[in-house]
Amino acid sequence: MNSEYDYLFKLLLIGNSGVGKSCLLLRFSDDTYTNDYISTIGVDFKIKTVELDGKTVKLQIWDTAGQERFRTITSSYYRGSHGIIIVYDVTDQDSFDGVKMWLQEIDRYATSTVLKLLVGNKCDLEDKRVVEYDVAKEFADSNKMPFLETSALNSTNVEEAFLTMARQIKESMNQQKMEDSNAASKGGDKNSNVNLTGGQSLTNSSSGCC
Amino acid sequence: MAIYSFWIFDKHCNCIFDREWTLTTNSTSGTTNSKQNQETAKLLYGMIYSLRSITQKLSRGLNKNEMRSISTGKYRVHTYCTASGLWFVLLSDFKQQSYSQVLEYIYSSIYVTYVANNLFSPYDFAENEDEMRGQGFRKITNRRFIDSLENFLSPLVGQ
Amino acid sequence: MAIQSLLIVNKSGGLIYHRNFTGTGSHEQQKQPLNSNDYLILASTLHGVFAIASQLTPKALQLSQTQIDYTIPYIPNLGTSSGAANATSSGGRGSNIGKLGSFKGDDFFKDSFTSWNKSGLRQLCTDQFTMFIYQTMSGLKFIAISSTVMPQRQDLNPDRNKNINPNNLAIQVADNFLRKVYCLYSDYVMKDPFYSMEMPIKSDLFEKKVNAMIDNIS
Repeated sequence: MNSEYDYLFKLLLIGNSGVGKSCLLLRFSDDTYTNDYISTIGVDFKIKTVELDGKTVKLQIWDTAGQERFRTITSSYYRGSHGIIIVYDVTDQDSFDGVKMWLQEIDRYATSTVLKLLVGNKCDLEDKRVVEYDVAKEFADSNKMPFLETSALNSTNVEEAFLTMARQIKESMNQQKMEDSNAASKGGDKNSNVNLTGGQSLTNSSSGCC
Repeated sequence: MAIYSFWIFDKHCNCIFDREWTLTTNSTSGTTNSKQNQETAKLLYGMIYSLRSITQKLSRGLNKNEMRSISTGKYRVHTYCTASGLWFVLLSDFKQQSYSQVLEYIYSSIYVTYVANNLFSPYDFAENEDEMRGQGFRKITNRRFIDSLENFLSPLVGQ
Repeated sequence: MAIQSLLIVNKSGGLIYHRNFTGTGSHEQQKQPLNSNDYLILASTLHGVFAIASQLTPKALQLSQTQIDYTIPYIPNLGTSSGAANATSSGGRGSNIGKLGSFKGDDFFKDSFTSWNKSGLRQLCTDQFTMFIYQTMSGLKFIAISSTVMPQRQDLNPDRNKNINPNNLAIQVADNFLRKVYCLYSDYVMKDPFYSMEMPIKSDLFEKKVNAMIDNIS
């Protein structure tokens, strides 16, 4: 049963409440889940099974809630995530301003190598738009993350972005493995700090477990 | 052996009664229906709700599988769900294995007597749509219910 | 204690190992068997609940700061055949040489140990099964679902049974067992050069050893 998949990637979906995070991926996931975990434990899950280079990869998307009472728990949701998607609403300036705050959260709780993606949602509501594409694009560039706009009507580009992200994660994992084996074969001369945790810093793993 | 707090949740995920003791040496310490416990109550409900759904997903055969208790290294949560969807929840020290009888007694002898059979007590604590979706705030304030519950539980506080 | 299922959840809440063991104790099948996605969600939900549980520590406990003893006593030969252990004690360590395995001998460890799972979820008792969670220092979780059901009626004479509370004994047995699975994981998964960290476990050797341990225990 367990051998149904070779890789399991953890993707985190964050953003202010009401930006339409959950709707973004309704069609993308394997099944339509009806569970309402998000209001009870602050997170909901969507899973997409994809094939990459002949390997079965499960993308598990953690859709988090913005409520205050889950603040202290969110650190355990960030832990070990491979990619983070920040969502804002193009018709809501506050949600775009909130992106800075979310980036700080990422810096605090996630690893520095985590892949990021900025998504502006509801771009079909052109007449209500308050966040211009160029402004957001510039912001994304300055923070070195890819950016795209989407709507519930046409979310194919998000799905595409997710797959790109999955490919990047897999590549960086392979690269990490190569580096590890290189470092090992060198016998630990100048590169003596072999990273045994595959990109995860050890301090990160021990700090949040209690 | 000690108990730390007692909670009742209605079928709309609202906490309709809470009692927390802050000193195990003093059974009159602590708070009743405290505003401060609102968020804690929601988290507690969330934990119970999710574990109950796991319990039922993993059930076998025709009988309904109910959750009895949840333990951590520090405390234990005892749960009792009535047919009408009410949750009676008791937090005790982690060593205590079962309070099922205690919770059943509270429901059948105290809750039913002073709340369910009380004509002045509302039939449903949620009075509108929002309150039925976990936004409720109404509590059981019935003096006789609280007194009799207090009488029953206080010997267990610092046992 | 018949083990129905064994799950390993990595520190980020991802399910990296799951097996159901049918044959013992499970006469009735699940109404709707869960698929691999259901189990992924189940494991991650437990990860979330685990974090919430530590947030809910009662005020009385926070205020009194009572010291709780987290030492778990060693229970010998749990899941390992007692014959092999006897051979080690009489024949010394010689039997272990040249064998891939734990350096601590056939029974993996021989001392009591500290439970790192101090405030998180440890046990879930239901009418049909009991779930046990063992957490390692790094946050890895080993979860066993056992068909053993904890007694729901309180003993009328609690003094008689004060020292052997069946519930706490069950937790100790489960911790001992799951710690051994952790030893197997350290030996056969972590030392596998082809294993990618935090990813699903696909090791035949690990599989075989776990199966043997399950067979011995039930």
